Amino acid sequence: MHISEGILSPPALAAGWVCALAGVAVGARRTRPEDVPRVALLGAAFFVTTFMRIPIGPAHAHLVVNGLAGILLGWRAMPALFIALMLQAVLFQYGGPVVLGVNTVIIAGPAVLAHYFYRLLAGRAPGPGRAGMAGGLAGAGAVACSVAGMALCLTWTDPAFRAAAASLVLVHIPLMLIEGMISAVTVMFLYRVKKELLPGSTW
Amino acid sequence: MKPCMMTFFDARSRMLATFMFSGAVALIQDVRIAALACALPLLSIACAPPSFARIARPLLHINVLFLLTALMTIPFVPGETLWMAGPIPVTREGLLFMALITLKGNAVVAWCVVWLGSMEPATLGHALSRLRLPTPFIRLLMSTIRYIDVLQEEYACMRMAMRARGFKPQLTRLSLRAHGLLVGALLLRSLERADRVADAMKCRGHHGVYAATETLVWRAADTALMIGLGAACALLLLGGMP
Repeated sequence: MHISEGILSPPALAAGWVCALAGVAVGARRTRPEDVPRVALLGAAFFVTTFMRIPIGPAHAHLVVNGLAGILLGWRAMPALFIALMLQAVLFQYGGPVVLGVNTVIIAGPAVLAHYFYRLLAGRAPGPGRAGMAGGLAGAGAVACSVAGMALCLTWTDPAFRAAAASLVLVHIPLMLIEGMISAVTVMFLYRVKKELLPGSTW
Repeated sequence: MKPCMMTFFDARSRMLATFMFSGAVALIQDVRIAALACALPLLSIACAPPSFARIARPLLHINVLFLLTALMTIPFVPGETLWMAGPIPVTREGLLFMALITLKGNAVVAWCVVWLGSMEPATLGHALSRLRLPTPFIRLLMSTIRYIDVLQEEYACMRMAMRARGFKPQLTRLSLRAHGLLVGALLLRSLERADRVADAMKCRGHHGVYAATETLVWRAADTALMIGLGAACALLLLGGMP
């Protein structure tokens, strides 16, 4: 889920960089030196997870897992996902150097929202079922926000992209549901095995 | 990675050149100037040809995307109708608009493949460090780069174990549950490894700074590249901005 180079207008690209740098600065400030190995390893894990392919009919969908990243990392997801996106742009040419700011905002921004959404839904002492449900909704919601962000960026650049943006939203609906289910199972698993990783702990 | 002519230049100048070229291309609004901008990556490919698969795969990927976008965009760009594809008008302005996007996208992707594709991720980290990006960011970047390979191996191992048990990815509840557990296990293993790594680093007196294993040397050729590319980008912008 990346916007390619060449599509967006200069104001959209500039706004993307301003918001991305602000978010990355906040995230980096909230990352204590002792957190670095954990945040980096989670960033690397999310980079690897995006290669996971789920068959949908004759095509495949790649996972985004930004909701899960947000649930576990909060604001620290901004620098972690910025780095993952930068490496994807350099190593595989997904996205690109100028559109990196916008791609960070549309993928890492919803991750931060997913963190607060999860906390709101799960409450202070959730059971595994409630945590899983909150995780699922946050995971699906993060992908929905990312797709909405992409559609907004496209229509802001040129109203002629409206049909393309609408079809983009429709095409991603199965991915939202898949991400929701996978996030729910993952959060339930982590709740049972290592509860202190989920929001509410102090790491 | 295979050494090529681009490795003669300093990693910092290659990164700055990529940003300069991509930034200039992003500002171009004239389809003829966008076509002219493609000459720079083409020249780079001629000087240091990457493997066919290395250049073809990303270009095929974005051009399929642009083709799909064009089908849904051209009819909605108002202008002079050239012909009717059934009930859908194909306008001259629509074709020019999509041609501009396609040329810009291809130019930047081809440039990135040639100038950054041969760069090791660790070199990228050292180059950014020498460009004086904030230390906490560099620390995070270097640690991420360090562990991507390790986790990829771990992920491949887990996938192989699943395949050995007869698992086939499908769009079923059971398969999605298995994927969820796979992600969970990968995260958990990552975190356990992170804790071990943090302890080991502390024992060795690590204070958050990764030592550079390579020397980056800024030569006269790098300055010449910056000046030459800067002039070319300025000319492109003079002709290509509205």
